[in-house]
Amino acid sequence: MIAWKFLGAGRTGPFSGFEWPPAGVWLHAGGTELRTCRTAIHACTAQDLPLWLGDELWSIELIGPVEHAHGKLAAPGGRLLARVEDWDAMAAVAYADACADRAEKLAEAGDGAAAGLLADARRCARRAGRTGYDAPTMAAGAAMCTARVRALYDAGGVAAERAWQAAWLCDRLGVT
Amino acid sequence: MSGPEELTCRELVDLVTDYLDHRLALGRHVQVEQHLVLCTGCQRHLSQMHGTLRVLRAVPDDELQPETLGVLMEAFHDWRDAGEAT
Amino acid sequence: MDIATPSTPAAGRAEDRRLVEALRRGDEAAFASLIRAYGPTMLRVARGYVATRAVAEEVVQETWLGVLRGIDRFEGRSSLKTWVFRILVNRARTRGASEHRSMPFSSLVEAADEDGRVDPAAFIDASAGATWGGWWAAYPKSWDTVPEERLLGREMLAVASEAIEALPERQREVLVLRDVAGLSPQEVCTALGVTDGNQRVLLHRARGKVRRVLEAQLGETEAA
Repeated sequence: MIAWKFLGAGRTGPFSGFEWPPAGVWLHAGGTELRTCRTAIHACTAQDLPLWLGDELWSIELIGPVEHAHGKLAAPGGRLLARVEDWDAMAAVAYADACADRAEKLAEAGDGAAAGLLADARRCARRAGRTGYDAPTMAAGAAMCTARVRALYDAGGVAAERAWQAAWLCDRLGVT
Repeated sequence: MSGPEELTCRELVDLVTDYLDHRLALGRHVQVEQHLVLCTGCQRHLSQMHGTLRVLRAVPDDELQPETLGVLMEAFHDWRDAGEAT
Repeated sequence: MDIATPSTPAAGRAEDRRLVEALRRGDEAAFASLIRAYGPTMLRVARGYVATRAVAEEVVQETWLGVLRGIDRFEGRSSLKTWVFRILVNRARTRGASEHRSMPFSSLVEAADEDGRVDPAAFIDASAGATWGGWWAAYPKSWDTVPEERLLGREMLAVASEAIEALPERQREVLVLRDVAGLSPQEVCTALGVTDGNQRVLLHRARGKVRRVLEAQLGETEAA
């Protein structure tokens, strides 16, 4: 199955720092290297891209059986296929701005909590474009604030806003 | 599905040791990671924990004194020669 | 004959069997390789229980004698390494207790011991409006910009050693076996005779303390 994977700069695991082999080279979970993914190779569907923003976006091929839980795909093995070049710091800034604009649209007038979240989203979006800040992290922060705004008015708001965000990213990046 | 906003940084800090040992329930584990995606503070805290572990791994062991090694090899010979070895 | 780190648990058990059989045969090289492999870490562990390095060396010696005397009874239910360290911990505790090195109130101190935790003031107060309660008030410093030669250099390693020595005994035991000796959680529980739950809490507190000490050290000399 083809899926997507965000990595840190230099093709590194975002939480472990583990350096992935180059595209085309298979990686199997439970390998003997101490820092290999211990439990599984992880990736995500296009729908779950908003949850996992990172420096680099790659398409990845997974071998089965693939499990899908909590916004993550888990498989016994996988290999990176190609870097999605359209995902870069500029795209992250554009995404963050789009999310902050959404927050403004969604926030109801006079709502203090919404106004606060909107200000936070705007601040994250500004920082996304500044040196000294990590653009994907700031963008993910803006997106989360926006999802929270929507959740103020709609019990399913977070999921709904994540769906909007996924659509934005897929459209921008040519991902299906 | 609980969102990342439901886990606070204070909670993540309390969970970090179990997270690193893969001892968290899957849902919790993913919550931690989804929080890390959008939180610089927690990214740095995790990075500090990784750094701490690297320092600990690098702490040099003391070498045993040569005299100790000598005593031990002698003891080994005594043990062996007393017929304890099979 | 050198002891390589086994790549899989099965390989580890096979290696253990080979070493145990060699010891039982009286193979001197096998014994020497074991001492080389485990001895320095054993010394560090022992050092945490007793007052002087000389006594720690004695504890290590006594442990190896115990290993030889008991080698016929070793069944391989735990790894050889775990078994050796279990003997070591028991000897070191006994020796340490007879030296009265353990502070009599250490267990009470530990119960109240909070200074391994991140300072609660580092987080936004939950009562000050709910939105960001519990989130970082200010970001911790990044250690990514610290050059490797400094992070793993003599200054930091010395500070880490001191921090380990200053830990309450139960936290020090777990931290040294887990993070310095590299034993697994299960091996540590077996070697120390503690529950998994205890091991996790003790490790968390111990690592937290060492992190704070290292953070302070990095912060102090950052301006240089």
